[in-house]
Amino acid sequence: MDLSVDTRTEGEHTVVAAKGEIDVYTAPRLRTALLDLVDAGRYHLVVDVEGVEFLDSTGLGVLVGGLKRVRAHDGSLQIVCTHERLLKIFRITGLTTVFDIHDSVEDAVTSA
Amino acid sequence: MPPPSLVRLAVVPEPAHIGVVRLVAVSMGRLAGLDEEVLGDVRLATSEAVGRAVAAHRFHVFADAVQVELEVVPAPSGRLCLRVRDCVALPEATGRDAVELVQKATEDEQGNLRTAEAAGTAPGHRLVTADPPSMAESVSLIAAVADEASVTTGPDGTVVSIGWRRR
Repeated sequence: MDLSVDTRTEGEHTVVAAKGEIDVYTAPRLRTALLDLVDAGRYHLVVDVEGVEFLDSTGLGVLVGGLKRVRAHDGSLQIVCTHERLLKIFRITGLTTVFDIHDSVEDAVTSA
Repeated sequence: MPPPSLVRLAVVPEPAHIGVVRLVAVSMGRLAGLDEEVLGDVRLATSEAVGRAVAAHRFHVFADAVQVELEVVPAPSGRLCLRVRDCVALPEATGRDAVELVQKATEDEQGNLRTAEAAGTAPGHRLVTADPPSMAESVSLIAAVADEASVTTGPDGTVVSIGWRRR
């Protein structure tokens, strides 16, 4: 029941790889990571949730909040996700129309 | 038929405990014989309902525990009912929109997904915008992944009841 967040740079993109569970308890860690990147001038983010075992609406809120911030700088926030259990949550909430969701980090960084 | 079993948890309103309730809920779901996909739904709905109640208590600085009941009718009939009771009276509840949404969703057989979509365009709801999700999103998720969901409210607080049947 924990969350780790690692970031790495791939060209103009910053890849944020989350592993573990994202809920009310752990979501602030992801929020801080995204805010720190925006503060550092990184406006093209790829959030890789392939290592995420659980995500609830708190986590979605952090992703939407991150998107709002990077858009304010003409940036982007893309998602990497192939797990059906997580994709289902994006679909239920209508967020598949808000985020670009990719099968791999490579797809995400080459799509823009 | 085996008798129902009941587990009651008193959850101090700390976010760290929500994951513990998820684990208990999934264990009880296994007793009911729910399949793995449904257990994923149980995890999600538990996190949403308990998270909502914990957030409501913290918002109002209530130290009282959130009461969680998990009732199982074991397989082969196989049912799981989750009840989450908070102490926040509806007029002050942070989840008022959410309560209205879940009632609307459960009144309409096809309402679950349509409620989530409709809420994105309805005045006062901003589900599908670039704003952080409101409490309403949490309850829309519950309604979409449960077989039954209802909310009862009164001066003593709010109870969210969620049910799944073995398929």
